[in-house]
Amino acid sequence: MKKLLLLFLMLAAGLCASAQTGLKINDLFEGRIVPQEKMVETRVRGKTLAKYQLTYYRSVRCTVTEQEAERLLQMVEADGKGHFARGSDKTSKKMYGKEHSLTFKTQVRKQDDKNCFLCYQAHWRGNTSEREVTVIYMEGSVRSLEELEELLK
Amino acid sequence: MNNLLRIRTLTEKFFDGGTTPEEEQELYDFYRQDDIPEDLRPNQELFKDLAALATLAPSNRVGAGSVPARNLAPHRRWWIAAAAAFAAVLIVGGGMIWRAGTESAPTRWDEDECVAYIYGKRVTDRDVVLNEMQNTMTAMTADGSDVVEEQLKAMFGN
Repeated sequence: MKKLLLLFLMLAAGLCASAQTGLKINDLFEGRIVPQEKMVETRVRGKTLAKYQLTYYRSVRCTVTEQEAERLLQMVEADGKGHFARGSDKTSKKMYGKEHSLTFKTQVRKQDDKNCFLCYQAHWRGNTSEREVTVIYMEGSVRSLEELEELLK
Repeated sequence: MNNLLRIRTLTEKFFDGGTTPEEEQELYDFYRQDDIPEDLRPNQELFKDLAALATLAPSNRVGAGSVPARNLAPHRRWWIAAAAAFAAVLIVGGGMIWRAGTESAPTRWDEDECVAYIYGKRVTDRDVVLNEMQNTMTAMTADGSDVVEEQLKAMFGN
C-alpha cells in the first residue's frame, strides 16, 4: 500500500513539474482554447527568418469572443511579467472609424539562450463581441522589441 | 520465448493481484532490461518505479518473511489490482499527454519547418506559408493600421 502511495506522489509531482515548464499561452498553440480546425496556425523555422535575426516563428490567428480575447491577453501578459524590467512591454490601442485594434508585445524568458517574444493583437468592429486575435511567438538572437520592430519594417 | 510467455502471464497475474513477492521480483528484474518487447514497454516505468520502491522497504524483500499475495483478502487484492492498473494508465496517459504537449509547444520544432494549418488543413506550400507569416508580422509591426486600412479600402474602395 505504501509503495502505491509513494508511486502516486511521485507521478503527481512529475506531472506538476512538467506542466509548469511552458508558457501559459501554449494552451492556445496546442488547441486547448480554440480548436485547431478553427484557427490559422503558421510555423516557420530556417534561413527564411535569418533577415529578422529570428530562428523560429509561430503564430495563431482565430476569431474568439470578447471574454476569450481578454483571457488570451492576460495569458500573454502573465508570460511576459517578471522576466524583464517594467516598461519593456508595449501596449497600443488604435481606432479607425469603427475598427479597433489592441496590440501588446512583450519579451519572455529565454529558451536555449535565445531571446523570445510574444505579440498579441486583437481586431474588432464597433460593439461586436467577436475579436479576431493573432498571437505570435518568436525566437532568435534579436535583442529587443525595438530592434525586432526595426527589422520588420 | 518461453520466458516472454511467462513474463506476460506474470504481468497479467500481477495486475490481477495474484503474484507472490518472488514473482514480482522476477518481473522487476525483467523490466529493468533495456531491450523488452514493444507491447510490454508501457509497463516498464511502472515496474521500474515499483522495483525502486521495493528496495526502500526491507520487509518487502524476497525471503524477508513477507506474506504471499495469494493470502491477502480478496477485496484487498482487488484494490491493489485496481490501483496498479490506475497507476499504469496514469503513466502511459501522462506520457502521451506530455509528448503531445512538447511536440506542439512553441519551443519545439522540426528542422527547417515551414508549415501552416489553415482551419485544420495542413499547407506546406512555402509561398503560402511565408505570405501568411509576412502579413501577420507586418500587421503586428504596424499595430494593425495597415490591416485596417486594407480592409477599409477593400470595403469602400471602388
